[in-house]
Amino acid sequence: MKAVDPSAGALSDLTLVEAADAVATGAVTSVALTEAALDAFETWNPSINAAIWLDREGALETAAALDAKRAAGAPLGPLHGVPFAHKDMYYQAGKLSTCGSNIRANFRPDVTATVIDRLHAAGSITLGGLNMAEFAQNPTGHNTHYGDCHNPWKRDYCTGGSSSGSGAAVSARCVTVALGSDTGGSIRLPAGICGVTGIKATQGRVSRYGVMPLSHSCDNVGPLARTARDCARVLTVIAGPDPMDPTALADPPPDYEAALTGDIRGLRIGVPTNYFFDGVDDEVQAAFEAAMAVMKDLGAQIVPVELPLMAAISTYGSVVSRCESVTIHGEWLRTRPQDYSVHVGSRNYPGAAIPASYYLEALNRRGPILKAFAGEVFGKVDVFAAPTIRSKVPTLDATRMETGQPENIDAFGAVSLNTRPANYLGLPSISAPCGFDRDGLPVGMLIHGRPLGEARILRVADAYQRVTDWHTRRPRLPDLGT
Amino acid sequence: MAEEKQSDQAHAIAFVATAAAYWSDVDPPHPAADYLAGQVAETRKGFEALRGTMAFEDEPSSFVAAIFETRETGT
Repeated sequence: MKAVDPSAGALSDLTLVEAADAVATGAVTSVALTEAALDAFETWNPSINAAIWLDREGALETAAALDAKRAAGAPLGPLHGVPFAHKDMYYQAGKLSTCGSNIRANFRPDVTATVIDRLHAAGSITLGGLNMAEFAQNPTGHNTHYGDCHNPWKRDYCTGGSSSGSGAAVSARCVTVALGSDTGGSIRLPAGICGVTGIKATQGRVSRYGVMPLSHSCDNVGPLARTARDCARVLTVIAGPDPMDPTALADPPPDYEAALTGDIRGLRIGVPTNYFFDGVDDEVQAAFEAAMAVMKDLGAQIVPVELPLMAAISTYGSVVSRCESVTIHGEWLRTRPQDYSVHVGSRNYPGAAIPASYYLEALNRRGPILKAFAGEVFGKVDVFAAPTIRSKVPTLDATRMETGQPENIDAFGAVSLNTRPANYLGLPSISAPCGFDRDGLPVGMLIHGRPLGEARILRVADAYQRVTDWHTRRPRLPDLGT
Repeated sequence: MAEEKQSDQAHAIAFVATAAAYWSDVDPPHPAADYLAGQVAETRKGFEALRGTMAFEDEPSSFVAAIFETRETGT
């Protein structure tokens, strides 16, 4: 274990695992970690707008209690004393949960999300609610109500969404971990675009009780963190059955961290020959190919693979989330349309006209399509990889829907082309940083696995991170005066 | 081709306006909404293109069963 420098800047540079280990050994206190995190938010938030609210007093009080517990020799959880902050849609009884919206600007739920209960039981502290796309409904990080979230690497650029504040806060080292949610890429996009690591597990692997829904069939809860190992530790804590969420899968999860052996020798990594590279940017392609070369050096086999049924997956996938979303938002669309931003109102509206027979066809074929896809693809490869987004990171202006310009709307929609298929298929998928473009913005890669193959994709990302340093690079505070 | 696409999109915009108002009492909130409504034409075409291509159309489906049937068994 490395020695811990107690200065605030050094503390904020610790990964979750390093921070938790340092608390456990007494090398650092939870209060010191929490103060460092709050200070980092104070420093960064004026330029990146990652946090909607912070509970400084409550967090420090909890941290002091956790320090006292350790001093008393009580058993410690795997996240003991480490401060997190989460996308502002995870309910905590009595606390604000805006969901990034005007409609829920003062919403204080009376229940607490299962995942928040589990994180707290494991010893983590929740500092506050992070910026996000309104009701988790955009892939870029724009927010009309609370202000756009800005990329810590360059503030004119998108953070990715919808878990925009989660990506930005982890990237800027405000927190080690932030929960996001992923219905079409909303964990993996901000992870890839902000240069951090984020995992969407198999559909149903993590309870969604107490989390604002967007699409009952495609929503997923998961962590954004600096490393695959940090993600593994959090996923081990939050995954598993939940009597409060009947869609949560029944079998218990493994210890994901234990699967991180660093050994991917002989593993077959598929690289799609269709869909995922259509129109890919040259710099993105080069970074991805360099990452695959590293995988090969680690002993993996790189195997070109044609993915079946991609037209069906795209067509059906686009219908499911649109129909479910408009069902959730229908009443507010009728009674409070003026309280929605342009992009959320506009995005929901067409869903009201899609026939129920289309929606049911899309849902009914989901199982058979998964079986056919998995049978064909995972007979040839163990995992498959692709760039997280096909383009370089776009600017906030180039993807602003409010302009009504077709090119902006198309650029907005193109951001999530590579992340959406895993949501319809329900596959686990992780985004890990694999380089930077010439503008100095991160490039991410996705690794997809079989259903319930989280351990394997985490192992691949961890093996890659053991021999590369993209995930260790940190953005510099931008000069707001320029 | 471009004219045909434009016509399809215009048809879709009009259809969405009528259907959304009729079934859900929802009106287009912004010009961007009409642009996205126009994309429903692509969705319709996507469904059309898939008709008759699914070899498993009549198979009883359970997505959760498929997850367990295709699950990872190694590490």
